[in-house]
Amino acid sequence: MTESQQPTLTDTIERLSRKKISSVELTHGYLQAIRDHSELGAFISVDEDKALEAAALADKAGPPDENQPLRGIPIAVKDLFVTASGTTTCASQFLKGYESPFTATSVQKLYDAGAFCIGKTNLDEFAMGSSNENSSFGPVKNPWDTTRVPGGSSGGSAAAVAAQLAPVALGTDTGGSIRQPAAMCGISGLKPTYGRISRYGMIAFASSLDQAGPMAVSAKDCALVARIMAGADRLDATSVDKPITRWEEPIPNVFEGLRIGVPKQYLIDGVDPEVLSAVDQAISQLEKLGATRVEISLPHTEFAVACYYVIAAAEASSNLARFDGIRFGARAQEISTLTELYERSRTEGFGSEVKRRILLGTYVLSSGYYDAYYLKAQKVRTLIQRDFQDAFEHECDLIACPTAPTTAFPLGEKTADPLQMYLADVFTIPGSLAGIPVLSVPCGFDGNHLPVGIQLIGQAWDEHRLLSVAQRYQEETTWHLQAPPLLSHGGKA
Amino acid sequence: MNDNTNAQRLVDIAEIKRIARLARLDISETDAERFSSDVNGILNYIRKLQELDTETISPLSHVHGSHNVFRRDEQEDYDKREKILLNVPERSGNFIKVPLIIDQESN
Repeated sequence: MTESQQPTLTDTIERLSRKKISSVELTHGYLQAIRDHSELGAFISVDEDKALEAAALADKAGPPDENQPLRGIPIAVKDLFVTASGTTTCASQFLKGYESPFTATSVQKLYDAGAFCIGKTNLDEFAMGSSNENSSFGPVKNPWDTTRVPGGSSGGSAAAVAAQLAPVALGTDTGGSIRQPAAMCGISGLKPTYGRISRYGMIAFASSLDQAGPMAVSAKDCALVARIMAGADRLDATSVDKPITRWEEPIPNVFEGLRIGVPKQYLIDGVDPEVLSAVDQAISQLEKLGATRVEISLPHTEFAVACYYVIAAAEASSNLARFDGIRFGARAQEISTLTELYERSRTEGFGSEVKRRILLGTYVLSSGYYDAYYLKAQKVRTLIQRDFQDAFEHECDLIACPTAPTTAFPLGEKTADPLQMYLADVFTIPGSLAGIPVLSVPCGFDGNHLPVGIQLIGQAWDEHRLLSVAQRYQEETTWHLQAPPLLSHGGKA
Repeated sequence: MNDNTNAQRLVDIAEIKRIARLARLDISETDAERFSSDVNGILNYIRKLQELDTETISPLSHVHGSHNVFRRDEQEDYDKREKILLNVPERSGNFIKVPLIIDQESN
C-alpha cells in the first residue's frame, strides 16, 4: 500500500458497530503500532495486558450503542490526568511511580461511555513547554518529520493520533497545549470553554486557564469525545452546568449569515508566509460554504504573551507548592531538617523549565512586586477578554487565524531561549486568557510538507457552532485525512 | 547567554537566590546565574504591560465572573486510605514520617 489515509474515530466506531473488527483486534493493532513507533517517544507508559483485558470485556458487552457510544475504543491519555490504574507522572522525576487513588472525572466519563486507556502520553513536564522537549522521559518526535518537535505540551497525544497509535487522545490546554501540537502534527484539537469540562484529576498548572480537551483526526471525532467529557462536576467548583447537545451532528445551515472575523493583529512579522497563505485559503473555502469574511481588530493582542506569562507562572508557583516530598512523590535522602527536605526534594525533582517558572511566579507574587506585575496582568487580561467580547458583540460570529506562527520547528532550535519558545504560543494564548472555546484543524502544508493548522475561536459556550463549521469544512477538504509519510512505507497501513 | 544591552537588570543573582529560598528551591551558583539571566529576559519582555493605562480597569481573576460555590459540609466515607498512603515516601503504620520539626531545646 503506497498511501494511507487517517482513519477517523467515527469510522472506527462504525466498524466496531458493524462487527467488521473487534475491540481486541483493534487494540492489538494499536499496541503493535506503539511498539513499531516507539522511537517517537509518544508514550510514557503502556499496560498491554490491561488494555487487552478491557477490550475483551467490551467485545463481550457488544458493539457501541447509545448508552456506550465509545464501547471498545482505546484512548491515549496525557500523563497529566490521574488514573487509578497505572502511574501518573506529569513527565516529572518528582512523580515517577506515582499511583493515584482515583481517576480524573473527564477520563472516568469516557470510561463510563465504554472507552478504556491504552497508555499515558508524554508531555512537557507539568505541561510547561511548547515543544515537548521539557519531558524528563525524553522528547517526543513529530511523525511528519522526526527531526522536528511535535509541539507541546500535549506533544505525545498529538504524535500518537498522527501516527495512528490511538484513535483519539486527551490533552490539556493552558496557553495552547492542545491546539499548537494538534496544528504541528496535522490533527484536530479542541480547547473547550473554561468550565466546560471538569478539571478534577488534572494535575494543576494554572488553575484559571487549564482546560481538558480531545485530540483526534477530525472535528467530528473531537465533538463526540468532548461532549461526553463535558458537564458540571461537584468535585470542580469552576465547572459550569450548561446544556450540552450532540455536537457531532452539525447545526443545519450553520453558514447562513455567518460572519468570520479575521484579526488584523495576527498578520504580524515573524509569521511564516506559507502559514498565512494556507489559512487564507481555508477562510476562502469557508466563504464558498456561505460565510462572510470581515476584518476585525483585537487591539490588545500584542500584550497577551506578557500577560499570560505573569498569570500562568504565578498560579504555577502556587500550585506546585504541594510538591514537597512529604505525602507523595520523590523525597530527597540524607537530609536532617524539614526545610532541607523541602528544598532538596524540590530541587532534585523539578526540571529547569519548571524551576524557571516557579522562580518567575514567586517573584511576581512577592511583596513589593505584586501590583506591578500580577495585578497589572490581571487588568490586562480584562482588556484582552473585552477585545473578544467587543468583536463578538459587534463584528463577527467566530474568529479565524493561524494556530501557530510557524510549522513544526527542529528539535533543539528554541531550547536555549525561553522567550523565543514562549512566543510560539502567541496565537493560542489570547483565547486561553479569555476562557473561550477554540478549535484547531489542519488546513494545508508548507513547502516541507509539514502541516498547518487554522484556529476557529468562538464565544463562550459556543462549541457546537465551532465544531459544526469545522465539520462542514472537513466534508469539503481532506487535509485532516492525510497521513504522515512515516506510515506509507512498512508501517501498519 | 546574551545580556540584552538596552534591557534593565531587574533581578540580580542575590535576588534570584532570595526568591529561590522563598520557593523552597536550593539552586546552585551556576543555576542562579542562568536563571537570573533568563528571568531578566522574561521580565524585560513583560515590562511591555506598563505601556497600557489600566487605571480604571478592574482585574480579572475568573473568566466567567467570580462567585462562591457552596455545598453542605458533610462527612463522607472514603475507602482508599491505603492507596493514598502507598504513595508516602516514608511511613510508619498510618503515619507519615518527617524530620524533627520543633527542635528539642526550644520545646
